[in-house]
Amino acid sequence: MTHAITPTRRLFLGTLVGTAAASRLPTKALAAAPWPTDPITIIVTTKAGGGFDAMARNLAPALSRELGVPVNVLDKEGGAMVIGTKYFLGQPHDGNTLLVTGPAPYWYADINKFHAGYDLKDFEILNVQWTDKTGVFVPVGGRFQSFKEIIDAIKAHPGEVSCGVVRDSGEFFNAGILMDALKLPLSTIRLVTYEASAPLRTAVAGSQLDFAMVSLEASLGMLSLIKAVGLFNDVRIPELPDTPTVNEILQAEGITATFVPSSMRALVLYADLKDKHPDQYDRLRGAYEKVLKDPEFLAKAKKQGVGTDWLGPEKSLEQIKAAYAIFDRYKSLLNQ
Amino acid sequence: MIDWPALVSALHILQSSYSAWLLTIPGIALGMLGGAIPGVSSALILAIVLPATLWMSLLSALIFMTAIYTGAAFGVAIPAILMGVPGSPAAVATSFDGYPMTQRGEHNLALGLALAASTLGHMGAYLILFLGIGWISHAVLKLGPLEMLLLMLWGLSLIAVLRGRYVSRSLLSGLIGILIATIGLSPRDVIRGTFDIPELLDGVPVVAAMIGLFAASELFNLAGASYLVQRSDLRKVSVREIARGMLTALHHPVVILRGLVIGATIGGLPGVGAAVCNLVSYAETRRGDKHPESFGKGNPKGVIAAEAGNASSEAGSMATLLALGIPGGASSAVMLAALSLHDVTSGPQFLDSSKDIVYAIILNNFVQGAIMLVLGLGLIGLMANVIRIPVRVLIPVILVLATFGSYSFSGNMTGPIAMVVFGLVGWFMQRHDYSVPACVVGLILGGKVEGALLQTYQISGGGQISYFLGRPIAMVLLALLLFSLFSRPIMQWWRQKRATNPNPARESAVKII
Amino acid sequence: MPSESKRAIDWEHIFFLAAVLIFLVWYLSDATVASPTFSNLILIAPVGAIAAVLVFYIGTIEIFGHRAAVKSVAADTGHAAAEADPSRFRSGSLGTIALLMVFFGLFVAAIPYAGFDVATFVFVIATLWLLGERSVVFMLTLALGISTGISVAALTLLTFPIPMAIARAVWRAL
Repeated sequence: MTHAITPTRRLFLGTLVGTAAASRLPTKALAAAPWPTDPITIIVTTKAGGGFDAMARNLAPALSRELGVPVNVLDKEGGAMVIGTKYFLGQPHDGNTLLVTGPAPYWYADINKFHAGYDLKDFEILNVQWTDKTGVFVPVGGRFQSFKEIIDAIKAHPGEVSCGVVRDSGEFFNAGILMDALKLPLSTIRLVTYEASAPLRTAVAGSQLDFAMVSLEASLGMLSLIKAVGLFNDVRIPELPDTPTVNEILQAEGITATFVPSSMRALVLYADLKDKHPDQYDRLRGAYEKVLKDPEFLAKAKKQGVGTDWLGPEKSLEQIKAAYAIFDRYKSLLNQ
Repeated sequence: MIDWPALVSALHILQSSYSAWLLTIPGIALGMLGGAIPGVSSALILAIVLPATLWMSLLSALIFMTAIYTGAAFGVAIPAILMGVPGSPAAVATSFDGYPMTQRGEHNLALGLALAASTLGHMGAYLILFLGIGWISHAVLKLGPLEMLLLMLWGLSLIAVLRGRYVSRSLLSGLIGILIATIGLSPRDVIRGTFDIPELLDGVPVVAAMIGLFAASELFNLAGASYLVQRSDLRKVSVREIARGMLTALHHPVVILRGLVIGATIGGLPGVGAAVCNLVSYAETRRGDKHPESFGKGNPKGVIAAEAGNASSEAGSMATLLALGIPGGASSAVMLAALSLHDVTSGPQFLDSSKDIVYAIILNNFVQGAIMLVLGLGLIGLMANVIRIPVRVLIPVILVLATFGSYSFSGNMTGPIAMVVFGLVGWFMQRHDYSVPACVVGLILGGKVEGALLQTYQISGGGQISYFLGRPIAMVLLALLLFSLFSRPIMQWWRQKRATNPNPARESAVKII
Repeated sequence: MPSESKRAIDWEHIFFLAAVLIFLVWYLSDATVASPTFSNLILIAPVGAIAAVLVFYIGTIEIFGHRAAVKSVAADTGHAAAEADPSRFRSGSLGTIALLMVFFGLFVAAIPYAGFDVATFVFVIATLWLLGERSVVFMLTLALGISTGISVAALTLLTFPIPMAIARAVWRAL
């Protein structure tokens, strides 16, 4: 065996060492050098493998190219996003730490139920980049093949139809809103709460549940096992042209309801960043907006199913507050 | 069953992708070394290398990661055997019999047993995966909350066999472990027992608590000893002995097979990881044995069972990861992130379209098993020298490393603090004959049991019998559970009743206390 | 064995049981106050109740029923073996062990203030000395080696900061 450093070995070794070392060593910074000179960390409030993590990991290399410094992703999951959020708040309030989290619905529970000690005003929600669309799914070949059938069954057999949602998620609230719209108590359905959307989808795929309300994007990979019979959205989407929206179906029954959006995934900065380090804020925001228009980033994001909306801080906050207003009406659900 | 064209394609891919092979050996070595540090888990190592995988091809990334996973699966057994402190919950049961063996000077044997069991379990489980990945994933789908609950209860029933001298005390240990596991956010997001400390919202860090408990009961008690192995004539590293251990493992094929099947099937269930599999495998082997009381004192079968269960769970979790896109635990979650970084959404679609890559991973893992045998032999030959290091050096070093490991796990001081607190608790427990392993079992499974229990309640509409009766798989599992729990004691009792006349009832009544 | 004389009550054991009971009462009441619903208490209520019963049972045996306890232990087939059970091995005086635990506790407590590097250094030296090491050179070398090793590992591999007193500054200067 030779000891030559083949190109592959070089690539591999260089990658390992380079990534490890470069991500930690700050470059020698001169006081006058423009920000950023140190690596940037994006904190994600969920664990590796989920949507938030994917969003951050998609953003990191593109941001890194724009800003010229390494951008690392740090998963700090736990406590329904409280741990990561508090960790973020505990770091120095400059542009070197960013946060990817779910202000709606997760922070709502954090603030109102868990008394986490922070509030919307402690943050600058730069942009809600990715709002999940949710769908109503049934097992392929299951008891119900349309949303109407589900609603009929709920009315005809109270206490028998099982519905799965991720605990304290937007869909959880939507279950409550749906039952309200049908003028039935929540106990009419068997609401089963799951820790995350992956086990929930599995449960539907395995016909454990009659139906589930869960986020759409990742479910698209399982369409051989689960079928979407309704969409929580304003309009039908091209990926599922034959799936009606929930509102379409409800309107046909003469029912109207306002649902909450599902997980809103946002890039968040410190509230005082604009005042304390205006140059950093501008640079960050500029770089981020550029990234969201970068074709390479967009292509990769599309492939991974990551959202790429630009709403901006004002509109993002507006949407979040609108969601909170609806949550407020259904606060009692949190204590179920 | 086997998709031959995909297999051929897989062989082609493996042949041409030498970078994937280049990564296998460092992966296994990295996993083994990392796993051997208590507190450093495969999930941690995987999270560290995750950014580097961005530059690799999909196949290379997955092979590298599974290699780390494979290496770590065995690596955690090393401190479990040599010092009684498992590298992670996946090796808890290995320490039950592995450490007593070390104390008798049979450490080489134990390490050899573990290596062989781990390798055979790993390869066997991947063989099952190869033959039936589609079938396994379908089976996983069929298991609902009730079945999960029964599985968790099965794992918890291990507490009953872990008794020291007093059943009641070990039972209490286990129950306290369960309660502590529920501290933090409940499955319904109720905050319990956190003193308003946000870091505790996620509960007590189980790995750190486990290390504290074991460290207290083993390491601290060694304070006055000079070496781990008391007798100096037994205090040597013998590769021949290690090899003998490996061959000895082959004398117990049933034990290995049992562990293998357990890991390959339930190891894939979300939330059921190597920790549960190694415990269940150990418990079942012990239950089915003619001399269950010999377990916990250095019975080789205990080590074999635990390691076979541990190693085979990797294949199980890969099955659900690739075929269903569901991560089974922290380690597979990181792999899922790697998949998404490579623009892959795993799931039934992936399985259908990229079967060749899946086969390539499986085939590579076979070879990983063989590599691990060689690498493992060399490495444990090296690491077994730990027993020649004086205890006064070992104690501070292990404690520091474990503290570092548990800090890295949670990223804050809850890990190290839990280690200290549980170290104290564990020491008291051990002093008064409260089984530490029972508490650890409760800790590991407590949270999961509650989740499954709650979901079962919800999905059955509040406990309606009709739900339970309509689930044949659950009925079968329940029957198996009851059988494995009660068949032996009942048979023993019956046998005694027939054999002796005077006061058989009193003896067995006392046993039940 | 049944003729063993009445042994003294192990008060340390009672103290331990009392601590367990306090934990049980506190935890269950905290959980109930947080949410007295079925879904919240479905597991912890029964488990806590059985645990409490066991505490009283064991405590009662400890205080009153030594004879019965001794007898039932004797009937346990594993009794003789349990005595020789290697897991019950303990060497070193209680004092040493207690000090070891105290040192460990201090070490962990010191980490946020003295940093991992300095705390490790001090802890390794202190523990080595406690456990009998007398060669100053060896102690210093090992302590330095371990703390450097850990510092390097933490600074290069981990993506989040770990408390360090001097290592980070040294690293940057390099």
